[in-house]
Order: sequence, then C-alpha cells, then structure tokens
Amino acid sequence: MSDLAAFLTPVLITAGINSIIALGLYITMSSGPLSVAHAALAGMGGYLGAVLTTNFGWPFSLAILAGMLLGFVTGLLLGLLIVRMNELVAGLTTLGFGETMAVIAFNIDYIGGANAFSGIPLRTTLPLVYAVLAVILFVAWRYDESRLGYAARATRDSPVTADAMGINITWVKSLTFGIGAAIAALGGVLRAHYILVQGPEDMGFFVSVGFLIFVIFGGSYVFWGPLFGAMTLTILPEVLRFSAKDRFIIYGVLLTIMVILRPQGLITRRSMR
Amino acid sequence: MSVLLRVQDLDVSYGAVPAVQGLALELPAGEIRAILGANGAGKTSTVKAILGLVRARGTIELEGQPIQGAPAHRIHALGVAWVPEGRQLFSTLTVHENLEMGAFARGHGDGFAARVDDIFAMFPRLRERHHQLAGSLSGGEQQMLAIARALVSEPRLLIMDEPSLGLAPKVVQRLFEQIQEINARGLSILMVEQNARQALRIAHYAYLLEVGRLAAEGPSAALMASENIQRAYLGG
Amino acid sequence: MDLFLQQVLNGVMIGSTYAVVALGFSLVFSVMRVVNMAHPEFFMAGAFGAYVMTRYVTTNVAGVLAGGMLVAAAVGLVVERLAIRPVRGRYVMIPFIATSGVGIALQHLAERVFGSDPVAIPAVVPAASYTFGPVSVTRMQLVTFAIAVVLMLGLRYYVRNTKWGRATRAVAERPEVAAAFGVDVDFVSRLTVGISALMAGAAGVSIGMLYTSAWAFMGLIYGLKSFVCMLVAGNRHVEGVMVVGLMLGVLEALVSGYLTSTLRDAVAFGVLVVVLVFKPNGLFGSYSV
Repeated sequence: MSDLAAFLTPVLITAGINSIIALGLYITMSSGPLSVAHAALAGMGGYLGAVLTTNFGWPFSLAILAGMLLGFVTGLLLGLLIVRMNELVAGLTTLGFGETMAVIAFNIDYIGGANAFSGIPLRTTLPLVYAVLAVILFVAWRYDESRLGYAARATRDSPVTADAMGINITWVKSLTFGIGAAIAALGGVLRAHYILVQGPEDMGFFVSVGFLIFVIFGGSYVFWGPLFGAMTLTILPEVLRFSAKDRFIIYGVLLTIMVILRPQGLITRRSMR
Repeated sequence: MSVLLRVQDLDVSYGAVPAVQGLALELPAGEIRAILGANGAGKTSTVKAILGLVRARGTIELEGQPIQGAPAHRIHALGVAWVPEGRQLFSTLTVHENLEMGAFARGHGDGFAARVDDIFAMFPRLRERHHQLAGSLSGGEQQMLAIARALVSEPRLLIMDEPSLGLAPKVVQRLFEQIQEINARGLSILMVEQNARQALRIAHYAYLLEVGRLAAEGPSAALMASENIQRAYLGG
Repeated sequence: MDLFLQQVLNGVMIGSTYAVVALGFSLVFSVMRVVNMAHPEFFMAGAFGAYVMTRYVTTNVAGVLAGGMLVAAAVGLVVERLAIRPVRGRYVMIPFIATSGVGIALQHLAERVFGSDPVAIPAVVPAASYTFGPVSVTRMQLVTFAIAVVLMLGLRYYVRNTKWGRATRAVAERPEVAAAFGVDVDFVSRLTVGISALMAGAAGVSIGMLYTSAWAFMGLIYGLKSFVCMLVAGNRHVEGVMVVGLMLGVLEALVSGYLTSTLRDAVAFGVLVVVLVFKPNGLFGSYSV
C-alpha cells in the first residue's frame, strides 16, 4: 500500500498543481484571449517565491503572496497590451512574451541562468496542494457566477455587443488576465517548492501549450473543464507508463484532433446540466 | 426556345436562418430576366446558390444538366460568369491581370487577345487604364471592369448582382444600354437589381422575392403595370 | 567600423534565412488566413532531410538541397491534409491550435527517431573563406545567401508573373470570386502550403549545413522569429517580410557583436513588443483576418 502511495503522491501533487495553473489559464481565457504565456507566468511566480524563501528566508505563505502579486501585475499589464489586438496577434504576443521571459531567465545568473535555481526548500505537500486547489475551485466557481465572469464571457462571445452594453472591455480583459496570471503564479510557487528546482525550460511555449490542451481538452467554458483536463491528462499518462517523449506526441495529436472535432472541449456548460 | 437555367424548390439556409425558401425560376436562352426585391429578400443568396458558392437544397439545372452541389470552379467551367455585388475586383491586380483571371479557366490561347480587344471596343476607358491597379479605378470604370472580367470567359450565362449599385444615374443609364447590347449578341443574363424601374425596362421577365419567397413573377410589362409593384418598388 | 561591417554582413546572411522562412509562413497566412504553427517543422524536416541525404545518399550540394526540400514538402502536404484543410475557413484560432498540436507531435517524433541530441551533418561545402577588405565571409555563408536569394526571387516571379501566382494573389484577396472564375481554391491552398514547405525546407538545409547539425527542436527558434517577422511587417506586402527578416538578422548580429550574444534571441521579441505597441497592424499594414 505504501508503494502505491509513494507512486501516487507525486502524480497527484503534479496533477493538482497542473489543475491550479489550468484554472488560471481558464480564467484568463474566459474573456477571450488565448494565452500561451501561462507557463512563463507560473515560472515567474516560481522564481520569485523560490528566491524569497531560499535567499531571504521568507515564510512560505508570504512568498506565495509575493508570487501571486507579481503574476497579477504582469498579467494586468499583458492584458492591457493585448486589449486592442485581434485574437491572433494577441496570441502571438503572449507567445513572444513567454519566450522572452524564458530567454531572460536563461541569462540571469543570479537566479541560476541556464543551470536553474536550485536548493529550494520543500514546502509543498499533498494536503496543501489540494487545499489550495479547493480554494481555487471555489474562486473559479464564484467567478463564473459573478458579474465579472458574465462580463468576461460576453466580451469573449461578442466584444461589440459587450461594449454596447456598457462593459468596459479594457478593464475586463486586463483584470481577467491579471487574476488568471496570479493563479498561475501561485501554481508556479507551489511547483518550485515541490520540485525544488526552477528553470527556464519550464517557462516556454511547449509547456504553455500543455496547459492550453488541458483547458481545450477538458472544456474551456465551465470551470470543471480545466480541472478534468488537467487531472486526466496528467494522471493517465503516468498510469499508462508513457515516457515523456511519447506523451508529447500524444498531446500534440490529441490537441489537433480535439480542436478539429470538438473545440469546446469535453465538458461544456450543457453537459453539466 | 430552350431553357438555359432552371431552378426548382431552392432552399438556402445559413445555419438555422432560412434565406431562400421554395424558389423556382427559369431563364430561357437569349433572355434577360431580373430578380427583384428589397434588401435581405434572398436575391444574392439565390445567385450564390446557382454559382455553387453556398450550399443549397433543391434542383439547379444548366441546359438540363444538374449543377447543384457542384463546386464553383466547375460551374464556371460550364459557362457561367459572375459580376458580383459591389464589383469585388482583385484590387491588387491590374486591369489586365483581372481580365486574365476572368479567362483563367479558358486559358490564354489566341482567343484571349481577340476577346480582350473586343471588350476594349465596348469599354474604351479600360484600354486606357490597361496596366493600372484595379483598385485605383473610378466606380463606373470598376463596374465596366467587373463586367469585362466576366465576359472574357465567353460565358453562356451571365449573372449580374446589383450592377447599378453606387453609380450615378447617367452612368446607370449607359450601363443598362450596354447590358442590352451584350444581350443582343446572344448572351443570356440573370440580373439581380434593387433598381426595379431600370431593370424592368430591359428585362423580358422578372421575379419578385420577399423574405426569401417568390411573391410575384411575370413579363416586365405586366409587373410594371401592376399597382402593388408600382407602389412598393417603383415609388409610384 | 570593421566590426560593424562584419556584423552587418553576418546579419544579412542569417537574416536572409529568416526572410525565407518568414515568407513561406506569411504566404500561407495571406492566402489561407491560417497561422501554420507547424511551419517551423518544415524547416526542421529540411535539415533532417539533409542529414539523411548526406548519410545515405550523396554529399553533392544540389542533391542534398533537393532531398531536404522534398522531405519538407512531403511533411507539408501531410500537415495540410491533416491539420489545415479540415479547419480552413473556421475561426482563426482553431487552425492555430490544430497546427500547434501537429507541430508538437512532429518535434517529439523527430526526437524519438533521431534522438534528443543534435545529429552531425558533414560539411558538404568545402570550407573556404573570402576576404573583401575589412570583412570576410565563408563559402558556406555565400551558398546559404545564394539559396535564399534564389528562393525569394523565385517566389516573387511566381507570384507576379505566372498564372498560378496570379490565382494565388486572387485567392488571397477574394477567395469566393476567385472560385467563381474557375480557380480551384483547394488546389491553390495545397500548392501554397507546398511552396511554403519547400522554402522552409531549403532554409533548413542551409542552416543545417551552415551549423553542421540538425536537431528536433531547431525549428522552434526560427519559427518564432519568422512569426515575429510576419507580425512586425504586416501581411499586406509580402516584400515587407523579406525586409524585416534581413533587418532582424542585422539587428541581432549587431547586438551580438556590440553587447552580448546571449541576448541575441531576445532581440526579436523586444522588437515585436515595441512595434506592436505603436503599430498593431505591423509596419507595412495588414489585411484584416
């Protein structure tokens, strides 16, 4: 039994963390923009949190808050930047942002540069991850039902109409981006304090696309979708013993098939009724 | 007289929204027939269905040969040419290149140069602007080019969508005279028009669409004389 | 001054490959309104094609180039069939995601087949160096540049002077009208993807020979830079992409030479952000999507 626990615990922790980040992406995407920067945002949170606990001895909870604040501000700025862009240019900008952050991280020796930042104290435990996940799920649920959530979905579905209804699109997009980024950063801090190493290779386009597929596969219209997507796509490959390389081949194929056949994801608002 | 185009039971929907329902019309060879109606009546949808640009249910026959469901480029190869609403020229191509596109399916054998000459005889202003970008022409010249582009493929059936749109009255007058000249050479024309008065003056027969359905049809003289039509569409 | 000239020269050489890759990508977008995120994999396929050619077939430059380009074209047609044709014309993010998926699958497939480490491509062009006053250039660099120039001129000629090139421009502007005048739009789409793959493949062969290696993930950084070129230039005038590609190469070389080479890859994204803030439609304007 303890063997099973030893095997399952890392998988469950990773699944939980992935779910948190996926939920962050979900909130950002709920107002329209498709972001492939969330791995970078998570990474930024991870770096900041790690430096604070490791080099400055900050308590874990404060490090988390700091990471989230960084994520929020960055997300807010990114949201403001892409507000007037069409979807495509916005998506490509998030791509550029993510890759630039990765390159910058690669080049800053203070945080380890190419060798990554290591020596991070272990602070993340299974109960902690799931407690946080539960909180985030609650937040996402309340968000979906809130005025901001409705405004976001209105903005996504028809910006012109939303504008005519008096919704401040700039505010909605930036805010949702910021909130989603903060949650992603939270996931990043948790991750850094579990894997104990934070490197630039976790911030790039690929990893972001990984989160994207959790949301697209699971369903981008209701908050259960990303949870389902992240959990399934993290746990299943482990259980089926796919190596990392094959996993990405399957992710890639799955992403293509899903978006062609069922772009709204497996779990839609309707299927929840 | 043989029937060049026959349409029966035409239904065109965009998603759940029906644009055309149960339409039937005919174009005998050599005639000009008009499709009239207000905005949104379904005129352009009908035309696009005939051209193979939108999916439709029903029967569309060109000289007895069914063409519904065929792709647009194959329908064009059968001799159908389009003068689209709003001209829709290839604005980044020159006048000459637009004509070459018109003849895309037919190729550039010796016939092409002769046809272009012919067309320039009808529209001398285009010859002057031969190597200018189509986007730089005036409204009237663009309409000429749009028609020229369609004629250069030597079609059997010419479909014109709102040729008078956005043109000054004098230009429209001349334009409709030219359309009659083209028809006199033996080309069958199906014309969609909002300007019912002008259309009825040169068409032999017309169909009136209202909200996607056929509301009236008949020889032009009869329609012009009808009081309802007068009031609703001819401002009289 | 010598450093400046040398770096500009190096920059133009590299920039020409950016331009070629960006051109193909931009072409597909203009004609089909599709962002083909698998385009970098055409580049990578070209390089691996070159590897396979040198390993098993020939070390003749022309042969290697042809082989690499054909491999890339084959990959291109597969991607077109699987991830582009089924979604062409749909909401623009869907092809973006679909091609991203295929791209990722292809990268990791290459990793599976050829390994995670770069494979060595033997020097196909005998090493030689030419000096013109203060600057020097290797024969391989010249070959790379020549290939790029030939491709760009060829594309320009195709687009402006041939029947299918004209049809391609027509489809880019008004696909419906083009179809109504006899253009088989499906065929033009396939043709366009094929051409973009040939070009990217050729660039891949060049870079593979220049750096004597091929790697499953080499397409990524080139792909990202070509996306940047396309965004910065806007898609209205295809020539704009060429200019931006060359400028990017030069800018990178200057930054590498005068500041630090580690920041080289960040130059592209820095430029992107700056340009997009002031000109969201690119320097030379764009068609709306």
